[in-house]
Amino acid sequence: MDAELASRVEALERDKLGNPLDRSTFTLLVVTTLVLPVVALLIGWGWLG
Amino acid sequence: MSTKLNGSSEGSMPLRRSEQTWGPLAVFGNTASAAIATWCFITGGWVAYYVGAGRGGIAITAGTLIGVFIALLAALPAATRYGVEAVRSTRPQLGVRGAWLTLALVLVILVGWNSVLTIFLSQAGHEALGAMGAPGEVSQGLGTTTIGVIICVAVFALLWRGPDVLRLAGPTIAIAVLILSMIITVVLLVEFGWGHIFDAVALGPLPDDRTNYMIVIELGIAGAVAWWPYVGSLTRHSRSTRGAFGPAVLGLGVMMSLVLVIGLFAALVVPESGGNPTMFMIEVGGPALGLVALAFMVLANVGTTMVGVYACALALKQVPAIDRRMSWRAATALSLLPVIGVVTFFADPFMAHYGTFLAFAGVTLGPVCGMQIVDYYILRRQELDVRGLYDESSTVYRYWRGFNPAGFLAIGVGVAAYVVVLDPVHFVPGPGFTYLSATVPATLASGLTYYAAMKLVPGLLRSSLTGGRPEAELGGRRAASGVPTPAVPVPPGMSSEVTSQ
Repeated sequence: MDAELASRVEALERDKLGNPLDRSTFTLLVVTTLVLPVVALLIGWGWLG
Repeated sequence: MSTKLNGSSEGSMPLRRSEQTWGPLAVFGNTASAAIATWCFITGGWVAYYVGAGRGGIAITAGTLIGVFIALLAALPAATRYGVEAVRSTRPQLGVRGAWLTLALVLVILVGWNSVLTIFLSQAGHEALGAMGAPGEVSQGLGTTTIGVIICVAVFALLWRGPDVLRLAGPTIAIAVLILSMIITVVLLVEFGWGHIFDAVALGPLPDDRTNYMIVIELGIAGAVAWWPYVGSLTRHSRSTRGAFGPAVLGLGVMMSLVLVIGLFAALVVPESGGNPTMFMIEVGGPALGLVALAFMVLANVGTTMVGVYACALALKQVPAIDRRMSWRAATALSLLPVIGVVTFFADPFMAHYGTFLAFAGVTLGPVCGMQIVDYYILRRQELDVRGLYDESSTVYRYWRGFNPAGFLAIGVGVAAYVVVLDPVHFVPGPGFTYLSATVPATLASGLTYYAAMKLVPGLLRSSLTGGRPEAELGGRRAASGVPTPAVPVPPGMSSEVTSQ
């Protein structure tokens, strides 16, 4: 591994710890892109009779 | 070694924090400019064959958002946290050599999308210019080829200086395209009215309403999952994971749905348009509205092609031999050459098999996402081995001679599940399609298979957590519970629970 890559890898190993997908962001993602669309689809499904 | 451009490293190198400069506007702008292109009109036109405006609008929007959920969950957190694009992000699941499969997949899909966009734009542009009475009569073939090559040269020129251009160009294109979309929508509504649009019946539905409905949902899901190769390239420059999700949902999900619905409306009230309102705009408003439609097409398709070529060049640079020998600009040019070849020599046969190409993307990417989600969140708890990702000499993700059999098995099972539930070429539904769609079961089947294989095949998971080193060297928590432990000390003020969420 050359020096530039080694330096960047070390920096990434330090920095990454502060940047996970946290619970509130995950919850927001689930609500907006999974729960609401599924509810909308069910409404549309009910519309079909 | 990668070429440095304006301080950013475009190649196999991980980004430094100082190089992750994209805020929410840049992420939104680039995801939106990537998502919106002529294909939205074409897909909207397909939707009109199966359902009307009301149910179609719901189904395509909801399906797109569900697909965005799958693609973002799989690709975004690893991209923002570790700076990985699509190819490198699959090293933990497929192995350091197995990720070549992803490289092949990504290159085929990106070159395919870029070719589709360029051909769409060149053909529609040639027709629109002709309809508006542009001087200089040229044959269709020569005209579209010339426009296609001009588009490729323009994209190359725009990417000359690397992704810094995207940071500025993405939002500009997105806002312009949004305004032009609004104009097209207003023209449609003024010309036909809500009543006419919502009373219009589907153009060629199948006998069963629920099957029609689910086909549209599947079009939305598969179309959005097809963004997986783009997500890493688009979000790795984001300052944070949290700050990238909302703008990406708005850009890839909401903006794309908006244009899909415009295509649906246009196809319902002007069936011969196939969802593309360009010619209709020229007929209604003459050259002035024709120019609006033409401007929309140029901005939308060039913006998407630019992002696609950037992602393609970045994928190429993940191959160490290419990264060492080829500059960023050369990789960009290499990404465009196949597109020019397709536009010049194979435009008609390629477009004749457009549906097969779409099916290929849909069938393969759902399983890749399923495998990646299980690996990143359940097996590794959001902790990847940085050296395993970037250091070619690392043994962490080497598995069996560089290949992880669990990943290949999972993708195989996922593809099989998709094909059982839906014939992807002719769109003939199989058992369970009406209730499950096809991409969702394929994603689930792949994820479950991957989990089972990683747990059941001796040594696979353990070796990819330890790189073959004794666990005692790696810290007590992982050794005791099987949960990956951060390879570096936890900074003050940050609990280990947060880091392993």
